[in-house]
Amino acid sequence: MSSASPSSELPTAAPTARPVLSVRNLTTQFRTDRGLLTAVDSVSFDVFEGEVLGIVGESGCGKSVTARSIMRLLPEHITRYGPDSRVEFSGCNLLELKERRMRRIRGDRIAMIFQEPMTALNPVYTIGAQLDEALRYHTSLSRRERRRRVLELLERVEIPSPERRRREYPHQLSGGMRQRIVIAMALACEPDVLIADEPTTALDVTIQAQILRLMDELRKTSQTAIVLITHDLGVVAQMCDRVVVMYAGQVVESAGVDDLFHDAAHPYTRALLESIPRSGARRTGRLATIPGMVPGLDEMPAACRFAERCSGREDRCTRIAPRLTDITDARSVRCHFPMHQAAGETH
Amino acid sequence: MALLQVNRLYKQFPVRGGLLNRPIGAVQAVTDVSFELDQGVTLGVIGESGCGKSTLGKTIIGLHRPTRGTVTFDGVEITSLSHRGMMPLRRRMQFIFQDPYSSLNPRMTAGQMLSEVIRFHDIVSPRQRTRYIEELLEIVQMRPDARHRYPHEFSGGQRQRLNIARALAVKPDFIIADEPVSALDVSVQAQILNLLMDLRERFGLTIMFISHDLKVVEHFCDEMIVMYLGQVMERLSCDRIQQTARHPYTQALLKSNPINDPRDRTELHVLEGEVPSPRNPPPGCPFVTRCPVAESRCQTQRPGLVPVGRRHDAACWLVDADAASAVSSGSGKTAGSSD
Repeated sequence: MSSASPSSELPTAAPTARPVLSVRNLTTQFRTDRGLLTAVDSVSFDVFEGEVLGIVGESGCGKSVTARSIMRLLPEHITRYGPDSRVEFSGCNLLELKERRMRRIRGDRIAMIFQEPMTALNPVYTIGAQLDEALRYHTSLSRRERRRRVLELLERVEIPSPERRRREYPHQLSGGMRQRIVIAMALACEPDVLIADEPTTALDVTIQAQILRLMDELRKTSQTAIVLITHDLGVVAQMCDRVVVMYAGQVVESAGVDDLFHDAAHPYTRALLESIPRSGARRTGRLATIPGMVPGLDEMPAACRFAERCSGREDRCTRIAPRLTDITDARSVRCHFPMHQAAGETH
Repeated sequence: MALLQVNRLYKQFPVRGGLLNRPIGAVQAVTDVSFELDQGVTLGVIGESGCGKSTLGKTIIGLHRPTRGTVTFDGVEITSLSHRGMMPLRRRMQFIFQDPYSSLNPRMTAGQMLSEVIRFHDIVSPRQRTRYIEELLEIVQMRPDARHRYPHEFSGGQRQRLNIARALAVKPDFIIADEPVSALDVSVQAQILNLLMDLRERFGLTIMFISHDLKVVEHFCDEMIVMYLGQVMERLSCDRIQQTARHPYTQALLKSNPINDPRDRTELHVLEGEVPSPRNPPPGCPFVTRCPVAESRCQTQRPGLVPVGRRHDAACWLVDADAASAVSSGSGKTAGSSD
């Protein structure tokens, strides 16, 4: 009766490779009127060259705060990082860098794209001027070389008539085109890591497909490591190699994309996957739902944070907080009673 | 007879500009849309932003006055009715908006909000009102004490339940829901979709469900119309759309739709270009600028919506030609296709 565990045949990032970016025990807290609130709680993951790591979760799970912590984009005066929190990148801990040095890394070595492209674009400068600025700041190209590079970049992200578009302002472009400009800016310096926070959420599906293809090309041609933050499991299925699932500020599961979709170990991951309508399976009846709501930041249960909504809850779940435990080399789960197949066999 | 008949509906918005703010052009938001909707059927309206799907919904329900064309509800032509004349019918047609936040009055409790609608349309006697409000809250699976609370005290999903309760309060036959689950997280989206499915069955509702999400429409609706640049490209049953979709735009939407399973991963199919401006749509087929199979006549002649199967229409010269040769060789519809 011993069928091979599906995780054993899963291709993951080459084991010999060193991660480009390594997040260790990242805890991000905010000082607020309601006291110190923990938005991200001991999050750890690695990203390897040329891979796409997905971070999934619903609103408020801490996925965007994680991204902004890595980039140090949170307001410093109210943000506190945990004492053992580290974001390791090219030999240093980004959380301890001086702002001046951090600025040389942002955009140059680690680029970020946001859900709303206008947050990254300046409305009073032309597209060309903004791309030129990025190149001037981060490269030593001459003026003429930069100009040529700007046109190249616009062509690369498939902006029609780049010579004309170069002189236009952000408001003259559509949402999809703006997002491509932001990607062009991200590409300008050929970063080692690209962090994309819901990059296609505000876009239509046909435009979403264009942007996803562009990111995929970037990964293939420049070996850029991509951290793709999304709530859309369809985008994860399409793009990611490995996935980190977050719930209420914590990582609840991390796995290769195939394991995650076919043999999820955490009850939350399973419930999330079952709650999406699927094409080609119409009117199969009701969708699976997750009862209740995510607990607020100031009322986090001390034990399992998902216990209240979990269908498989047992007494232990409401008493003891589960730890994130490795179940194979490439997988870990934060649950006392993980649901994947291999778990059933070992018992 | 159909509960709702939309006949050659047009909606234009003037574009003003210049020193005197005179009309300098027009946006063609809805162009020549016709369809019928039978009692008890859920019709999905799908398309990308700016395709006119929301304007279509608002024009049907009377929030916009149509530029041309008629809307007939239960045998009464409502487009020409006065505000007063529309009143008894307005009770039977309700609208649910996308944004559960801005569609609720922040200064009214849930109970006051429901009470206002009930009083206005005189649904139950004043003595039964409280009981009725509690019943409504129960229908949308909220606790009866929710009626004392204000919108900001509710989560997004609860607010959308409240919007649904308000729509149901007047016992409507027909509901237009404009992206009712788009602003919600997936697990909450599933709760609201389940609720709408239950209520549809319980009250025999006819629903026009406007959405950009093909998977949601496929799951929730019986039939769908696919819109592009204000026009209907295809109308088809939601059963097996992967196999039956004929219009190149519908097929492109299906291929751009994110997959369910990483094992289905293929090279992303990408539709080049973007939607043209509705201020000056292409003279021929609206989809011609992005269509992978467009021919020369698509540039100049606009294809009409013609039957291509049972309860299945498409507006495409190429689909029409195929269908005509495959289904019936001697159709009059193909007379112009010999050149």
